[in-house]
Order: sequence, then C-alpha cells, then structure tokens
Amino acid sequence: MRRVWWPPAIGLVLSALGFGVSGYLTYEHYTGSKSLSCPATGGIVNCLKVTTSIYNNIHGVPVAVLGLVFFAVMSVLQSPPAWRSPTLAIRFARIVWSLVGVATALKLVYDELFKLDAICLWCTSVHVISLLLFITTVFGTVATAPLPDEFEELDEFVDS
Amino acid sequence: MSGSEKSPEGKPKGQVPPRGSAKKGRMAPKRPPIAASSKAGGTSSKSGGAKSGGNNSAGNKPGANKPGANKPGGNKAGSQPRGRQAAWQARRRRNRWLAVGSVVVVVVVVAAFIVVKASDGGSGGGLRKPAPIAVVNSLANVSMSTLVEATADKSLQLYYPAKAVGGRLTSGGKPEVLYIGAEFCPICATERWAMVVALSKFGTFSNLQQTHSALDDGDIPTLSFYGSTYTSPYLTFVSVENETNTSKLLQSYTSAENTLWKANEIAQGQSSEGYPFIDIGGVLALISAQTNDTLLISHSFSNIADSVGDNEKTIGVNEDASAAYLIKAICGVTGNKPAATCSAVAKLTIPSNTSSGESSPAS
Repeated sequence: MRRVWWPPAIGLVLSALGFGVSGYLTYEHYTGSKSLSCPATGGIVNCLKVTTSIYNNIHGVPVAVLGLVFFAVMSVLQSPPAWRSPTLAIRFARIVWSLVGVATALKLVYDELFKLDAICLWCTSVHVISLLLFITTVFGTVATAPLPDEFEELDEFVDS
Repeated sequence: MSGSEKSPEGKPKGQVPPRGSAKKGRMAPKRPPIAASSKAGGTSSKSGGAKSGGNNSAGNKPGANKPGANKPGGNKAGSQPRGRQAAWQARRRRNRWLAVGSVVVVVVVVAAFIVVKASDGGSGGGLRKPAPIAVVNSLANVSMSTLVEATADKSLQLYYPAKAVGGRLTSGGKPEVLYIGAEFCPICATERWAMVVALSKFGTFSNLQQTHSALDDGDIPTLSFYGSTYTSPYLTFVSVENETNTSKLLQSYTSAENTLWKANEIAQGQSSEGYPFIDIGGVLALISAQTNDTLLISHSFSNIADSVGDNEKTIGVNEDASAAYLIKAICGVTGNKPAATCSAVAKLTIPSNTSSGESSPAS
C-alpha cells in the first residue's frame, strides 16, 4: 500500500464540513426551520421550501439526519488509519459509501430542480461536498492502489 | 523513491521496465514499473521497500537480474514479476480511467440537470411568465373518459359547485362563466388547473400565464388567466385576477360582479367575499377549490402538469374529477354543447355539498 498524504487530509476536511452543515440542517429541521439562514427572494433559491417539503425525508428519515450519519461514517473512512489500511474491504466500503453519497445528492438535486422548483443553498453545499468526497475517494483509491505484491490479496478479495 | 527500494544487489538495470523510463535506474528490482507508472512522487511506501527485500518472488533470486536472465529460454521464473508488473500497470491504468470516467459521469449528469432546467425557463419564482404551450396543449387534450373515470374514485373528498343566486349570467348572447380570484390565493391556484382542463373542452385559451401562489401561502405552481384570451362558440369566459401573488391590485371587478359574488358567498354560508368565485352562467357557483390545495404544495409546475390526466396520481385524480364536475356544470348552461363533450358527462351527477365527506369551503 502506498502512502499518499492528500486523500485523508482532503477527505477529513470535507467530511467535517459536511458534518457541520448537516448538523445545522438537522437542528433547523427539529426546530421548525425558524432560524434558517437562507434567502427566499421569490427566485429559485428558497431553503424553507426545500427543507420543509415532502422530499425532505427518505423513508421517513429526515435527509439532514441521513447527512449526519453519512458524514460521520465518511469521517471514519477518510481517516489516515483507514487510508493506510491495506484491508481491501475498507477501500471498497469507502468507494461504495462515497457513491451512495453522490447518488443521493443527485437524487435530491433532481427533486429540487424538477419537483420543487427551489434550491436550498445549504443543501447545495452538502451536495458539492459529497461530490468532492466522491472525487477524492476515487482518485485517492487509485493513488493508493495495492502494489504488485499485494495483488494476490486483491484478486482473492475480488474473487470472493 | 526511497533508497531502500533499491535491490540488495544494487543492480536495478537487470529489470528494465517494459516501457523504458528515465527513472528506471531508481527502480526496486521487484517492482520497477511502480516508479514509471506512478511517477513515484514520494508516494512509495517504505514498507513496500522493506517487503521487497524479503520477497520470495523469483525476480529477487540471485541471477534473476543478470543480463539475459529474462530472455526466452532463460530463467523462466524471471517472467513472472514482469507479467505481474504488466498486469499491475494495466490494472492501474484501467482504474485511473474508471475514476476519471465515474467523475465525468457525475459531472455530466449535474450539467444535464442544469441545462435542462435552464432551458425549461429557470426559476419558478417571480410574478408570471407565459405558460409553456406544451403544458396548455396537454391540459386541453386530457380525454373525457379519463376525466369521467376520475369521478369514480370514492375516496375523493371534493367540494362541488352549488346552486347559484342572482339569475342567469350571460354575455354576448352566450352563457357567461365568471371567475374572480387572485394569484396569491392557493385555493385559486389549485382550481385553475381543473378550470383550464374543463374550459378547454368548450373553447381555446391563448397566452395563459404560469405563476404560483404567494410564497408564504403554499407557493403552489399554477396558471394565471391574467392577460390570457379565451374564445368559444358556446360560452363567454370572464376572468378577474384581482391581485398578484404579492397581493398587489392586478385587475378590478365591476360593482355588478361584486354584488353577484357577495350574494353567492352568503348563499353558500360565507359571511363575505372570498377567492375564488366561479359563477357558471348563474346556474351553479363555486366558492372554493373543489379539491384540497395542500395536495399541490411542494410540487413543481411540471410535476403538477404531468400529473393532470393521470388518475394514478393523487393530484391527477383530484384535478381530473374536479374538471369533470366543472364540465358537467358548464354543459348545463351551454345546452349540452358541444355534444361530444357533454354526452361524456351525461350520466354524471354533481353531488350535494351536504353529503358526508365533503371538503369545507375555503375561507
């Protein structure tokens, strides 16, 4: 396993940012979005419309809470020990988890643009963070690819 | 590349990477392509170098690095690490392209969202803009069978047109349908969808507008009659959008219309005028939306437009049934013309609002 500094550094910073924004949105969700800091000027930017919409839940769970869970798990997967770990299950889980994040973000962006006609800036920042985490993860995974002598382990994992 | 990755023999030349590299002299004996393909970049691990020292692969066996060791018919074991290196390089290249490809796919999807949204007219905010022709046509072309079929849904809780007061309402020798509403009003926003569907069976709208109810009052996407024209051989449609969606005065009603409006509101148990008011030729009057306006909250304009005419969708079945009852009411003042439209609702009966399950009149 080759060591590269940037995947855990960038990944952790992004995860922390995402966790912070999700935490704020979770707080707003459970306090009725009364203090939500986001303009609603009559244009497409309207956080309140998004955060109080029927699309703000996935199977009954508030999206903001799902975001908290996502970034909490991602923080662990983006930590230096996780990136140093040669365990292929961890590498695989990190990719899958980042894929889940970006797929969810795409779904929510679709809902905002085509079902709600409204964009929430806080949500958008989370979506951008998810996309950057996905990019960091896939390129970080390539950059820290197993070395030839670790090939056999990889093959065994893939075969399994 | 750290010095620890050099071969114990200090003879890296014995394993020249498949594709020559200026860095080949710095290669570890076991994995020369690493530096070549990954640019080393200081990313090689010390542990990797340590591992290579203890590796049992044939490449590290004495003599493996000697010139000619990898020639055909030479040391056969020497071909194994080269094969693995090539495979490793191929896998690495493939993974790199996979990474680039996956990111490109995501970015393309996001870009497509933005382009489609931008071409769709952008924000749904603001006062109003011309309604998409496709939507107007789609609403006009909902089949009569679909509309009538929607009324069979017993779970619907609709508020129906009731007997009007004030005498027959006509204009230009034709029965008149009078609408008084406001763009900010969410109930009007809800009923206009059904109105456009119903009235399109009797005539043709042009220049219908797209708008939404007030931001703090449902922000329901809808159509506005303001600035539109309606032509029909069977009836005259008079529309008054009294206020904008920011509650500014938009169109005024006449004193006669106000009198009629107030009389019908009182006749239906209200204390004063409320939006909307729809007088159908002075025979039936509707003082509310037929369906619940909350059904449309949090849906986009296109989402609602797509739902109308689809009885599988809650919005669709409610709007379709509302349109069917409006058509039935209008047929009552047009002498059941046009026949094709009115014969489809001939067996339909407008229920009384005193029946159980009715919706409450909107305020």
